Amino acid sequence: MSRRARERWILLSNCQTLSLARAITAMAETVDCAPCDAWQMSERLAADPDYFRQFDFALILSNLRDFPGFPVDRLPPHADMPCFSFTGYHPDCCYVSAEGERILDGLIGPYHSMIGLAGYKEQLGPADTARFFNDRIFEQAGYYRQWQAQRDEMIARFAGFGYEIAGIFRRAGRGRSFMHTIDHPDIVLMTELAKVILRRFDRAYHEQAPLPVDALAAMTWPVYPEVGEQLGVTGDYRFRPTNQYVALDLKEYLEALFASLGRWDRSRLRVARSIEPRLQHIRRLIREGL
Amino acid sequence: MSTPYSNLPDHHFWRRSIASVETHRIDPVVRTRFRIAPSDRIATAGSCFAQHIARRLQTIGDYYLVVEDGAHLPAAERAARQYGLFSARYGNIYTAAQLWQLWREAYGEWAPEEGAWAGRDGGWVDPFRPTVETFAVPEAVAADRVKHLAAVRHLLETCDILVFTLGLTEAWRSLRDGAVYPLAPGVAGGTFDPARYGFVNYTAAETEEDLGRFLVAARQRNPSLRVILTVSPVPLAATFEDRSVLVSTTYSKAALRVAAEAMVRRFDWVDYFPSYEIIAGSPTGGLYYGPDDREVNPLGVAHVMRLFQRHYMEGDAAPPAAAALTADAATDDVVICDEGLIDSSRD
Repeated sequence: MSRRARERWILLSNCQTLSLARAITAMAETVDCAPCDAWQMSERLAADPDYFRQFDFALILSNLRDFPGFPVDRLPPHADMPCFSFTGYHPDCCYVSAEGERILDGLIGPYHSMIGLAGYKEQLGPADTARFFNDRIFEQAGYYRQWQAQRDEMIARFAGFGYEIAGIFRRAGRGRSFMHTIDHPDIVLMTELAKVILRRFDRAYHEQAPLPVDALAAMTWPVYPEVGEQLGVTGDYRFRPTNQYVALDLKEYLEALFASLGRWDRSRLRVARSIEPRLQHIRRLIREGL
Repeated sequence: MSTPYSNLPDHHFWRRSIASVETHRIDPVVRTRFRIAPSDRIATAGSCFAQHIARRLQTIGDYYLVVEDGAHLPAAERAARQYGLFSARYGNIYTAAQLWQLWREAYGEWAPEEGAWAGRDGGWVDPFRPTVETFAVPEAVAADRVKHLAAVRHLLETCDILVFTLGLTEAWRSLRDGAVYPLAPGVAGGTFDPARYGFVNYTAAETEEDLGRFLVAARQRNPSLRVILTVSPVPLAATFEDRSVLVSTTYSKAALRVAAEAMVRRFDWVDYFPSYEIIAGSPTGGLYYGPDDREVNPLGVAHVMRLFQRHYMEGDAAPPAAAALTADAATDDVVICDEGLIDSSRD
C-alpha cells in the first residue's frame, strides 16, 4: 500500500515543541511536523544556514521572534501562533525567583506554591502553612475564578492569530485537567490544538488517532481537591517530584519547599511583578488567620 | 425566515447552552421562583440524595433547620442514630406516598396497625424508619415515634423552605391498612410475609396525587411555606419488577419527574431544581457517579450545590477578593520555562 506524500512542517516553539509537533504529525493526514526548540535554532543554523528552508512550512511561536538566533530571513512560508498557558487548574502554582534568577531546581522543577511561599515569607513552618490550603483562602485569592478567566483569555489570544480554540476546553477538559503544570499542556490538549492548527491551514486530519508519547509529563502539579470540586475534576494533594513516581503529600511537599527556599534570604524571594499583588493578598490573609 | 424559535435566548438550544459549554459550567437553571433569604430556614427530606443536600447546606450558613438534633448526645452517637441526617429523624422518605402518610400520621389522620418490627439483629425498629435506631422494646419505638411526629409537625409549621427529593416509585405496603414502608419487610427489620405485604410501583398520576395532597395540606398549616422539588439522580438499587433494574430506574425517574412538573404547574410556590438533569444527563456523561455508576460522587454534589447556592441564595455574590489573573500575569508567559528539565526527560 503506497503512502500519501506528506508535507514537511517545522515547529519553532518553546518547551511545548516536541509534544505539539508529535501531535500535529499524529493527527494530520498529510503533514509530518519536525520540532525545533528555541534553544536549538542557533545550532541548526550554524550547521546548515538553509536548514529551515528545507521544510514546506514553518509554524512559529510568536514571541520567539525576539529570541537570539531566530532565523528571521531564512524561513520557508510560515505562520505565527501564540503560546498556550493556563493556570485554571493550578492557580497556586507559580515561578519564584531568588536574587533575580528563577529557581529551577525545585521539587517540581521551576514550579512552586504561592501559598507555600507566602507562608515561608510570613515565617510560618510547613505544618502551619498547610492549614492555609483551604477553601476560604482559595476563594479569597481568586483561585476559583481563574479557570473561566483563563479560558476566555486563551480563546481571545488564539483568535487574534486566527485560531478558533473554544471547543478544545470542553473536549480536553471533560472530567479531567488538561494541564500538567501552568504552561505544560498534556498530550490530549495538544492533539486538540493540533487539530485546530490543521483546520486553520485547511489540512485534513484524523478526528481520532493513537496518542503520541507525552513529552511534558515529567512533572505534574496537583489539582487541589477544593479547586477540582469547582471544575468537575477529582483533586488531591499529591505532589510528584520531577521524573519520579512516588508523590509527596502536602506537608511533605511544604517541608521540601521550605528546605529549598531556605537557601535564600526571605526578602530576596520574588514572584513576577504581575502576580505580586496576589502574593501580598495571600500574605495578608495568612496574617489575619493567625 | 422567522420561526417561533428565532429570537429565543441560548438556554432554549442544546448546541448553544449545552454542547458548547464545558461540563463543570453547565447550568440548566434559567430562573427560580423565589430566593432564599439569609433569615430563611430550610428543611430537607426525601431519598438518600437529599442527605447530600442537607450536608452541604450545613456548610454554607445557618439556613439548615434541624428539629431533632440530638444535642444531648455525644457526636458519635448522634451520627449513629441519624440525628441531623435530615431535618427530622424520619430517615429516607423515598416515595410521595410515604411523605403524605407521614403528614397524615403527624396530624392524627391515620395510625398504622403495626408500630414496631423485630430488628434483624435483635431489638425492635420503627417500620417507617427502620435504620434510624434499634430500640430495646416495642414500647420504646412507640414512645420515640410520638416525639418524632411532634418534631415533624414543628418542622413543617416553622420551616420557610422545604427541599424534598423524590426518590422512588417502587415500595412495599401493608395489605391490611395500606401502610407504606421505606424498605421491604425483612430488609432492615420485620419479616416478609406475602400474605401481609405487597409490592406497589406507583404511577406518575398516583405520585402526583399523593404529592399534591401533601403540598396542599402542608401549605394550609404553613401559609408561607415554599417548596423546592428535586428528583434523585441515584438509580434504583434493586427492582421487584420482572425486568432490568436499569429499565425500572428510567421508569421511576420519569414518573417522578412528571409528578414534580405537575406540582410546579399547579402551585406557584413550588419550584423544581434540576439536580437530576445535572447529574444524570448526557452532558455530564456519568462523570458525577462513583465506581458503581450509582452513588453520586462529591464532584456531582458540588456542581449541584454550586448552582443551588448561585440561584437560590440571596446575597451570594462573589466575595471581595483578588481577581482572577490573566494568563500572562499568572505564567509570566515565558518562552522558556525549564528547557534543561525537558531535555532530560526526553532521554
